[in-house]
Amino acid sequence: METTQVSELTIPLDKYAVVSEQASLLQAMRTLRLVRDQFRLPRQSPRAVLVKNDAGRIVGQIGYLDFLSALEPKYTLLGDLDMLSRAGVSSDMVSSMINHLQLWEGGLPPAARRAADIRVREIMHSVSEAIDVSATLAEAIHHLVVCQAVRCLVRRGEEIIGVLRLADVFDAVVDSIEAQFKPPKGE
Amino acid sequence: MVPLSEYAVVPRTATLADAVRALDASQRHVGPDRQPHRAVLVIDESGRVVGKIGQWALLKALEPRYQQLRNDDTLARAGVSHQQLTSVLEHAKFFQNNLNDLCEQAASEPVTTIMNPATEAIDAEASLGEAMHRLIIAQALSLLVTRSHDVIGVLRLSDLADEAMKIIRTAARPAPDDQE
Repeated sequence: METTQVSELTIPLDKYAVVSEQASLLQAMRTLRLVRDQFRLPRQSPRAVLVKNDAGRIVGQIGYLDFLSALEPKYTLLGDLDMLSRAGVSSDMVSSMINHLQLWEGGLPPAARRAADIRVREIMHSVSEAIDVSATLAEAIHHLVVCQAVRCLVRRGEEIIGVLRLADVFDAVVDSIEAQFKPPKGE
Repeated sequence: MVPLSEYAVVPRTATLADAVRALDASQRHVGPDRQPHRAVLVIDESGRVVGKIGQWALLKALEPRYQQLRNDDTLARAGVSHQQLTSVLEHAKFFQNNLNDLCEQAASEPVTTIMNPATEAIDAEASLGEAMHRLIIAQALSLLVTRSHDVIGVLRLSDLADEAMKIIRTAARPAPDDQE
């Protein structure tokens, strides 16, 4: 594992879900499903959608939490949700938000009907940084831990070429720890 | 929800190596159509869930220098922005030692020094909307599910998002230009 490079765990763009900036949230969701259906094992399938501009350059990404929060427009009233979570909100406060802001009123179906009208460019996280494809696994771990990220984009030069997922890095580390406790063959 | 009986659970006295073994064993029970779980719950002597070791917590445990930053939520509350912290950490010297050696050292670390307290929870009778709300506000990957204050399972963001997407695909109006 010491010599493992990011490239070995990277999912290339052609195996990932990618939509244009003009796509709707519904289109993004359908694209994600199409791509996931092509994977034999669920553990390997993508759980985010990348967004490309007209020039084909990756400019953003949408994860599960972005998908869900976009369906309830009142979350925009709360500002930066990442900042809010880091500041710490009590359980009672979280409960009272639902009542006071009347979040998810009517359940998911009314929110779901909005999915066709939401454009991915309105909700995506813009690409701010990426890790080099030749970086070591240790560098990738550090990046994921420091950014508290579930994935990071992988670049070669200035171009985004794939995605490195926290889950795959985690599995690699778990396998490595586990391997140290397995008896050698023949024992 | 993944019931507690299918989840990886270790006692407070366990080490990280024990937790990894428990995770490995629990993953064998996950069917091929489901995402494997990647967290370990820690229970006290009375069987109560007191902590959780998630993906970031395990990776953090590999590098002892992160111990100094274990309480980075406190830094956030003290006004240190995520960007400032990220900038400082990106320039600090982490993972200078061999990664295999770090894994070996971390393996004997007690789970109590690695785990995060089990705080994010939701009642088993809560609605799907409330579950989504709690995950969104906590920006979390999972929630503990409780019944009468006892933890009975784990609700994962990936399972909830899959369920939500199913509902959305059914409820969304068909549009001729839906296909990319």
